Amino acid sequence: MIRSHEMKLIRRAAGGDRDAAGALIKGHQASLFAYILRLSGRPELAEDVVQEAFVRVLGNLDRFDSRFRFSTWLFTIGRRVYFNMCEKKKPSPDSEIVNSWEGEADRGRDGLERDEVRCLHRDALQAALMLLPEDQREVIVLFHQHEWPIWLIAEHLELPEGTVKSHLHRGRIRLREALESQSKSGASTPHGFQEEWR
Amino acid sequence: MSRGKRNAHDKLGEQHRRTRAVANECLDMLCRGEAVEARRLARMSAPECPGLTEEIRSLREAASRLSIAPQSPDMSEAVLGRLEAVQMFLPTRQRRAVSRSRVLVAVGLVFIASLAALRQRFDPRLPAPAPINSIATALPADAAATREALNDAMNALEGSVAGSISGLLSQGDGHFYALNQVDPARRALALGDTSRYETRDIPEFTISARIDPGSGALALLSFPPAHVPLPPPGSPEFRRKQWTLGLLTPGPTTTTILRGPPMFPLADVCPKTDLPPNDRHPTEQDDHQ
Repeated sequence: MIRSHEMKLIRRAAGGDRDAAGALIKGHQASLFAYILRLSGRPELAEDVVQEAFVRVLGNLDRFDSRFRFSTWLFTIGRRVYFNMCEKKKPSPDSEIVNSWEGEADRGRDGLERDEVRCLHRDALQAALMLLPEDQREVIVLFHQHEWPIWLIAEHLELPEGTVKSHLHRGRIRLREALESQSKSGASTPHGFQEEWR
Repeated sequence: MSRGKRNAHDKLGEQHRRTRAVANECLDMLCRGEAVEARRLARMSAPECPGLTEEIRSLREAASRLSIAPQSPDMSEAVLGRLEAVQMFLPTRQRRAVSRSRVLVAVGLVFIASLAALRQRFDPRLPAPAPINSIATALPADAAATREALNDAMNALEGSVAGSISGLLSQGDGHFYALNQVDPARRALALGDTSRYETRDIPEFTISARIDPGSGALALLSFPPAHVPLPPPGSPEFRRKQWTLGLLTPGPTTTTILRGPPMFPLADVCPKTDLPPNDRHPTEQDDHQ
């Protein structure tokens, strides 16, 4: 989203314009959802966090400092909401055994959500990400998925740039190892990397 | 491991670490859009970093999988609905009016509560307000406790009366019961020397008993049948067989037995006295169980 257009939307939304608020949500919900989903591995939690974060952000638009990026502010609030929610309801590990106990008959919305989680766990990338320590996972996701520069990640996580770089490098190596071990065990085959880098 | 081998191993490890570090650095440059600088660094480091190209390629392949963002559901309507609930989309003036009216209502409630508290303080005869929910919570518990207490009292009464009667009565035909001879050791009331009062005439009695409220009592009276010849007064047979008075109560009972002249008090020991019986107060209290 172009910054000037985004600022206009923010001003209109702060003045009570429903459409502008809707446009802001539609413009940023996918990236925030992806960020929280990659951190947590739980789509239902990510949805809750995104909704709560938008309610907080749009309810306090008059406090937004226009010197900063809206997305950074939104991600900061989303991250805080995520950690608060994690404190309240600790994520329970999903397993095939638990799913097989619960049977297929009583599958409502919860059943669908469980299926989603199962799919995600089958997703080799998410499974590999979940093997990383939280700091490394977050840095990797922000750098490679959201293409944030190191200095912005350092600001967002309130860490020195050197620490962020170290998390990034270690996390990248661990991610590759996790993916390689998965592909060896036959869980998933990574995409072919066609480009010859020289 | 020999020293030479260890050195070679360390050297390999050091090379591997350096290769990884350079590969990571090159990848960072690539992600920042500094492709030319990345290639230059890789070319320069290649002699010292065996397998650098392969390292960069595999790292880049792993990281590139993150570029595909997961699909997101549309949450805009849900969020807007929640924001509407807090009047986010009202014009500023209206929103301020809503806030002001809310503040006024809150202040009004606080004022009313303060007035009620003051009134209570200055006129303590007024019943203190109790929270409705606590009353509602307490009601079933109180009712259950009352019911339980009543049940206990009735059970105690039944048990006590039945226990007391069991030794005294024996069932005869149908619903009639016969009164047993009471073992002197179990007698509730022992009389002293009553010989001076003994007579063949059946005296008139007035029995007055004050029984504790809520308890029950059973009075048993037995007189010798008119056709049975009575033993001579003063003999042990006369005292044992003549008449029986029993008062069975589940709890302590204050009993007074009054008899027309001559009167006699009932006690463990009934001492003889020179006073004319008519001048004495006719009451003697005894506890019966």
